[in-house]
Amino acid sequence: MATREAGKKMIMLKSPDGMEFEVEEAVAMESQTIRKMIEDDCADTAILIPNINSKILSRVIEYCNKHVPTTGATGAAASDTVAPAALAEDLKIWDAEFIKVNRATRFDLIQAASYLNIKGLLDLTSQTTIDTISDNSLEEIRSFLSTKNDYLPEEEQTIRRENQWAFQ
Amino acid sequence: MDHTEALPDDVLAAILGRLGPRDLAASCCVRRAWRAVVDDRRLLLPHLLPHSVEGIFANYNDHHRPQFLARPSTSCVDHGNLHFLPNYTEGHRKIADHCNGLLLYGDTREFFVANPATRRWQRLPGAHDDGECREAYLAFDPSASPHYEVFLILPKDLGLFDVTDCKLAEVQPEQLAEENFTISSRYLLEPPWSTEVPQHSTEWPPPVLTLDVFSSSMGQWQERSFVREGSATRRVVNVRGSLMFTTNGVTRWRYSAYWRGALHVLLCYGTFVTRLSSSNGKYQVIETPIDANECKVGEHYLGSSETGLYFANLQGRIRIWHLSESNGEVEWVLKNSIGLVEPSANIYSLNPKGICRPWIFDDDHDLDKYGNNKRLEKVILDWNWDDDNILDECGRRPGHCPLLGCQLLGFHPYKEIAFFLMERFEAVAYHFDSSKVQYIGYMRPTVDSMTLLVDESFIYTPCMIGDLPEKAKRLKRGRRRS
Repeated sequence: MATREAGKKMIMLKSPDGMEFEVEEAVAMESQTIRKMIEDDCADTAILIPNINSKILSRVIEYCNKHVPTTGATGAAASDTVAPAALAEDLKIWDAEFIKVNRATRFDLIQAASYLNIKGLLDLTSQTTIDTISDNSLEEIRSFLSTKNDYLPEEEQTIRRENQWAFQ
Repeated sequence: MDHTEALPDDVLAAILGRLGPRDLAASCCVRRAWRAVVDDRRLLLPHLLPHSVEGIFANYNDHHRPQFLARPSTSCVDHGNLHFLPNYTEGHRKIADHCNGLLLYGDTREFFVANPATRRWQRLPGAHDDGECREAYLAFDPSASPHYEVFLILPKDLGLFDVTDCKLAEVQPEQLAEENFTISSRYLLEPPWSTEVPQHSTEWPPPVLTLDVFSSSMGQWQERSFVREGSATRRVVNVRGSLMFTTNGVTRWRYSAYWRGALHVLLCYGTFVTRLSSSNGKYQVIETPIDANECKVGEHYLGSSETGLYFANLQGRIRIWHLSESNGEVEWVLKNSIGLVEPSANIYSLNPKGICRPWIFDDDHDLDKYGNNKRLEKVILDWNWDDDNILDECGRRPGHCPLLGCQLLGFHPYKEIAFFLMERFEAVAYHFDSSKVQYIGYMRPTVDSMTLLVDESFIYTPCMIGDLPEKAKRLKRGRRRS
C-alpha cells in the first residue's frame, strides 16, 4: 500500500476516464463502500470507481477531505483552539458554497454519494431535490425537476385518489 | 433535460425515502417510475402503519360526546375531529373501541367505523339486537389487510358468571379448591344483562361459541362459530341471585387487543383472556397469571405492543406479563414489577398554567364551525417524550411509580410508558425506564357537572390505511396546493 507520510496510509482511487487520485485512507473511508473494501482487504492496489467521472470524483474527494473527522491525536489539538460549534458552523458555510452547482452536476453528485455511500454528501445533495418536492403541487414538482408526467389522465386521477390524503 | 430519469432506482429510492409521508404519497403521482420505486421498496408502508401515539380519546359518563387530548405536533392534523360522523354531538354515544388507528363509535343500534387520520368512515348495517347487552370489539391489522371486523360479545360468552367476576362476593380460600360451589352476595341487584348460570354439569368454556361478526370485506353481519381449542377445565360456579356490577365494571370488561390475526378480550376482573381467531374459526381461553382473589381487588389491562400481547395488573404494584408462545404452549412471563407509592407533594402542587407544553384538549369552545381545534394551528414545536413537562425531578424514586391510587388510562404501545389520571382529569405519563413522571394535559370538558368522570380511554395511534367508503365532506385546510 502506498505510503506518503509516516502514520498516514494512502489509497489510490481511479476514475473510469483514467485519472488517479491519491488520498489518505481516512478520507477515502468517509465512503462506506470504500471502507468496506479496505476492511475486506480488497484495496491493496488502486480502487477503480466505476460510473463516476474524474470531475465528479475530484469534487467528492474535496468533500471528504473537508469532512473527515479531526479526532484522534492530531485532532485533539485542533479542537482545543476551535470550539466544536464554530467548526460545525464553518462546515455548514463550506457545504453551502460546495453545493452551488448546476442541476446536472448535482444529480451526478447524488449518484456518486449514493454509490459510494457517503451519508453527509447524500443528505446535502438530495436536500434541494427534497425541498423541491416538499409542499409543492405536482405541476410545480414536475416543472422544477423538468420531469414529464407519463400517466394517462384517468391513471393520474386514480392514483391521486388513492393518495388523496397527501393533498389535503 | 430530465436528470431524474438517469437516476438508478437505488438513488431515487434514497432521495424519496427522505421525504415525509405526505410528500412521499404525493411523489407517487409525479410519474410512473417514482411510484414504482415507492411501491417496490414499500417506502410508504412504514408511514402508513401506526407508529406513534398522537393523542388520547376518552369517553365520559354523562357527556354528549367523546373528547380528544392531542399531542402537540406541527403537522396540524386534527385527529380528534369526528364531527364528520352523522349526529356526532347528539345522543351521548361513545367510542366503543379503538384498534390500530380505526375507531368504532356508537352502540348496537348504530355503529360507525372511522379513521380520524384519513377522515374516512363507514356506517355499519344494523346489528342483531335482542335487547341483550353486547359489547363491540374492533379487529384491524393494517399490516395484514385493509379490512376490519367487528365482534359482538355477550358477558356470558366470556364466562361472566364465574365467581371471580364478582367484586363484592366473598370467596373463601378453601372454596377455590373445590370444583363446584355456590356463592351468594350481600348486594343482590338486577344486572344489565342476563346472568344465565350454567348447571353443575355444564361444560365451560362451551365447545362452540357463536358470535355476531361484521366483516368489512363481506359488508355484512354474519353469525360465526368458533370451535374451542383445549379442554373445558374451568370451575363451574352457581351464583345464587344476581350480582351487582358497577358502571366502571361494565366498561372495564371491554379491554381487548388484536394481535397476529386474533382478537384477545380480557374478562372483567382479569380472570382470563379469550382469544378468537377468525382465520381458522377457533377460540381459546387463556388464564391470566393472577389468582381469583387478586382479580377481585386489582385493576387489569390487556394490550399489545410491537413485541406481543401483555397483561397488566395494578395492585400496590404495576406488574406486566408478556404472553410467550412456543409449540402451542402459552405462558405469561413477568417483565415488569414496579412498586406504586403515594404521589409526592410536589406532584400535587403542579400548576397546569405554569407548564409550557401541555397536550391540547378539544373543548367545544376551541373548535371552529367544522369541528377543527383552533388551538392546534398555533403549535410551533413537536412534543418531546424525553424532556417536556417533567414533574417532580427531585422526588424521583428509581424503581417506583409515585402514582398510587391514580386511574390507569392505558399504555404506550411503542414506548415503556403508562398513562394515568391524577385528580380525575390531569393526565400524566410514567416512564418505566427512568421512573420520571411527565405532565400530559388536562382533559376535563367545560360542562356543568359535579360527577363527571373519564369512563374509558383509548391511546390513539393513527393509521393511513383502511378500507372505508365514505369521505368527510369538509376537508381540513391544507398546506399543499393540489
